[in-house]
Amino acid sequence: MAKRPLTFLLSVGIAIAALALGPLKEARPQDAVFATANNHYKNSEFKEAIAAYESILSQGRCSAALYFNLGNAYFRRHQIGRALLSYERARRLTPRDADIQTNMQLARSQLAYVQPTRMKLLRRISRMPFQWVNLDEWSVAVLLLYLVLMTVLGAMALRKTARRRLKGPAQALAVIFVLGLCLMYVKIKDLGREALVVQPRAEARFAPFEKATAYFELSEGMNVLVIEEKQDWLKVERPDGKTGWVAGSGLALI
Amino acid sequence: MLNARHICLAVFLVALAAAPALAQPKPVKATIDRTQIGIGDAAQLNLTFDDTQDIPAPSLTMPSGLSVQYVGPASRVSYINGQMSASITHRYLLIPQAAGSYQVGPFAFTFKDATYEAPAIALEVVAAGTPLSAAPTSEAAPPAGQPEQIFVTLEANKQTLYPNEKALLTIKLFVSQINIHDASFPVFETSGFTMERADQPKQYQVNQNGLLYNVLEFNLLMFPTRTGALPVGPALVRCTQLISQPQQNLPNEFFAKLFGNYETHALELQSNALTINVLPFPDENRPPDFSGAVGKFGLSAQIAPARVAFGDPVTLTVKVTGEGNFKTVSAPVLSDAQGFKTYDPQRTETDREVTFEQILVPKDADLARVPSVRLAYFDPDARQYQTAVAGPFPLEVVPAESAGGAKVVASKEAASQPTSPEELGSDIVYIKEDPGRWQSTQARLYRHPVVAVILVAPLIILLGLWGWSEHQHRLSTDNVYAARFRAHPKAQKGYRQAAADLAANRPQEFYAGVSRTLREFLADKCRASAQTVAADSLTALAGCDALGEDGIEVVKALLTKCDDIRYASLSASQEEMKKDLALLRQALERIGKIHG
Repeated sequence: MAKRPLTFLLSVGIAIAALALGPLKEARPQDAVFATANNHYKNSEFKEAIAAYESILSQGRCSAALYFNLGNAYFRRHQIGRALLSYERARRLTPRDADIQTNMQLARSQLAYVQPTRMKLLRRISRMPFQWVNLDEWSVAVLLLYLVLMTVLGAMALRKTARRRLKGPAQALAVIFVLGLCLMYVKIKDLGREALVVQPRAEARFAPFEKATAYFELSEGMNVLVIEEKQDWLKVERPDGKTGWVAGSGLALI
Repeated sequence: MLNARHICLAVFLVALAAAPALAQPKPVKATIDRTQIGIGDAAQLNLTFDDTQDIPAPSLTMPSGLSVQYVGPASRVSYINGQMSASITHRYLLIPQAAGSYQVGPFAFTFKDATYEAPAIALEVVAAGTPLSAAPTSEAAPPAGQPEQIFVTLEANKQTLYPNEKALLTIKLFVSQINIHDASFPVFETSGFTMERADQPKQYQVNQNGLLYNVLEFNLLMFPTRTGALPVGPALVRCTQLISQPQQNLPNEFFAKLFGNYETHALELQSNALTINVLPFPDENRPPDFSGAVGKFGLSAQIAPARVAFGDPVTLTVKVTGEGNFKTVSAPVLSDAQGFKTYDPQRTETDREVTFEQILVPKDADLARVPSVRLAYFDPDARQYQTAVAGPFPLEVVPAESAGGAKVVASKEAASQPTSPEELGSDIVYIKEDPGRWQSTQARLYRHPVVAVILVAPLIILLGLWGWSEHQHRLSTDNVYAARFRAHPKAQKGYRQAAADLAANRPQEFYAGVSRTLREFLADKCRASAQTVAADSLTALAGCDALGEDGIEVVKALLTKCDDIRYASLSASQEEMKKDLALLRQALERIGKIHG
C-alpha cells in the first residue's frame, strides 16, 4: 500500500518533466538559412552573414550555435560590443561551451578597458551557479528537488515509523530547495535588465536628457543593469554601483 | 577791541584743530624674548599695538653692530568677560654682528595722526660659545592679569638643534567659557624646516590662571634643513565661535537663552612665534663616512647563509634601531669590502627601525668572514659623533660542487633547442556548422504551464495523503469515530438486504434484518451498544430527542413489530412488509440526522 503512492509520485514527476522538455524540441526550418549564413561567413562576407543570422532571430528562433556564429561575424567586422553581446547570449544557452568562453576572452582582450569587478556580494553569489548551468537546467534541477522533497514528505505521511528517520533529510532538502528557488528568483528578476554597451563609448548622465551633466563613461562591451526606463533613456547601474542615464541606442539587452 | 576778540577766536580754533596732534601719545608694548644672546644667535623683538590691527610694520633703526630683519605680523583677538579686544604684534629678528651692550629704541611712530611710543630695551651680545645667563623663553601663555578666554601657543621641545635633528613642535589652542567649533589644523610659515604630523590632535582640560581651559593640542615633528636662527610661526588657527543671541521677548533669562539663536563668528587666532637656533655640525672628530645621520642609533646585523658555494650570494641584513631621524640614516658601510662583489642595499623603513639588505658575492674562495659594518652618526645630546659597529661574521666558502645544491644538467636535445620562447598566434574559435537545438527566443521553462502543474499537483497529492493517513490512524484508534464513519454504509447495506428479503418474500429474515439495521444504526449514532437498544428504552439513548416524538414512535412501532413477528411467529403480508420497508427508510433518515 505504501509503495504504490511513491511509485506513482515518481512516475508523475518523470512524466511531467519529459512533457515540459518535449515541446522545446521543434522542427528545423531555419537550418537552410543557417547554412547559407555560414557560407557567407566562409567567403568572408560577414555583413551578409550577419544579415542571415539576424533574419533567423527576427523569426523568433535561436540557438547557442547561431549566437556564437553571429558573434564571430561581428568580431570580424570589429564590432566588439555586438560580438560580446552575441557570445553572452550563446553562453546563457550553453554555459559550459569552452569555445564561447575562449572567444569571449579574446573579444574582451580587444577592448581598451577593464570591467569594474566590484559587485554586490549577494549579486555575485546569485550569479555564481549560472556560470555553469543555464536557467532552464537550473529550473529542472529545482523542480526535481521539489519532487524529491514531496516524495519524502509523502513517505513520511504514509509511514509513521519513517517520520523520525526522514525528518533530517526532509529539512535539508527543504533548505536546499528554498535556496535554489531564491537564486532562480533573482536570476529571473535580472532577465531583461542585464544589458551590454554596444557603442564604442557611451556617456551616463545625471538626468535623462542630452544637456544633462555627464557622470561617467561606459565603454564598449561593459555589462550594466537597467534599473529604469524613460522614453529613449535607460537608467543603468554599473557593477561598481554607480548609476546614470544612458541613451538607449548605446545599449542592448542581453 | 574787535581785533583782539578775533585773534582770541582764531587762536581757539587753531588750538581745537591741533588738539589731536597735541594729544597724549599712545603706548606701544616693546618686548624682547632674550636680553642676552651670542654672536650667531638672534633675539626676537615684538612691538605690540593695542586696539588696532591695521597699523603697518614700522621701519626700525638699529645701532651699529646690530642688524634687524622683519619676520612678520601676529594679530590677536581676545575675549575677556565677553568683551573683544584686538591687537597686532610686529616681530623682528635682531641679529648681532659684534659683541657688546646695545640699546634698542626708544621707538616712536606716527600713523593716522596718532603717535605711538615705546621705551628703549637693553640687549647684551656676548662672544660665541660664552655661556648665557638664564633668559626667559618666548611667551607661551597669556599675559598676567586678566586671563584670556581663547588663545594659541606654540612650543618646541628644543631651542637649539642640529641639521636633520628631530624636534617636537606643539601648538595648543586654549578655550575657556566660549563655544567654538571647526578648529582648523594650524598653518604657519617656516623656512629651513621640514614638518611632519606626529600624531592625531589631542583634547584635554587644564586649569590655568584660575580658568578651566579646553585644550586642543597639535603635535608636529620638525627637522631643520639649514643652520642659523630660524623663525618658526606664528601658527594660525582658524575656528568658528558660536555667540548666543538670547530671545529678547522672554523675561526669564533661562528661557531667553533656550529659545535664542546662535550667531557664528569666524576667528583667526595667531600664536607666538619661535626662533630655533640651528647649529652646524662640528668639524672636530667628524668620521669620514658620516653622511648626516642624527640621533642615537644601535646596529645589529647578520648574514645568511653562513656557508655558501663559491660564486653564490650571501645576504647581509643590517637593522638600525634607536631614536632620531631615520630618514637621514644611509646604509652602513662595510669596513673592508675587498674580496666581495657588492650590490646596492635594499632599504626598508618603519617608524622604529630601518633595515638594509645587501647582496655580497665572495670573489675569493679563501674568505673566512664578512667584515664588520659601521654606521657613523651625530648624537645631538652628547654633541659629538658616534660610530655603531656590528660584525665581523664568520663565513665558509666551499667549492661549487660540494655545496650540496641541486645541479641542473641539460640534455643534448634541450641544449640544441632555441632559447627564445615560442610565439603562438591567437584568434577566435571558428563558427559552428551544426545549429544545435532550435528554440524560441522567448522560451523559458519556468513559464511553461507544466511547471505550474508540477508544483501544484504533488502538493495536492501530499495533502491528500496526509489526510488519508490521519483518517486511517483515527479509524484504528478512535472507536466512536470509526462507528460513526461506518454507521451510514452499514445502514444502507441493511436496507438493501431488507429490500432483497422483501423481494424474496422471506418475512422472518426481513424483520430480523430490519430490527438489526435499526438497532445498530441507533447504537452507532447514539454511542451505545446494539444490545442495549430496545423499543421501551429508546428515550434513554443520548441524542435520541433529535428523532422527535413521531420519529421515536415510528422506530418504537417498527422494533415492536419486528420482535412480534420474530418471537411470536406472526405472519406478515407482502403489503405490510412493503409498508414497513418504507417506515424503515423513514426511520433511517431520521436517525441519520442525529449528531452523535
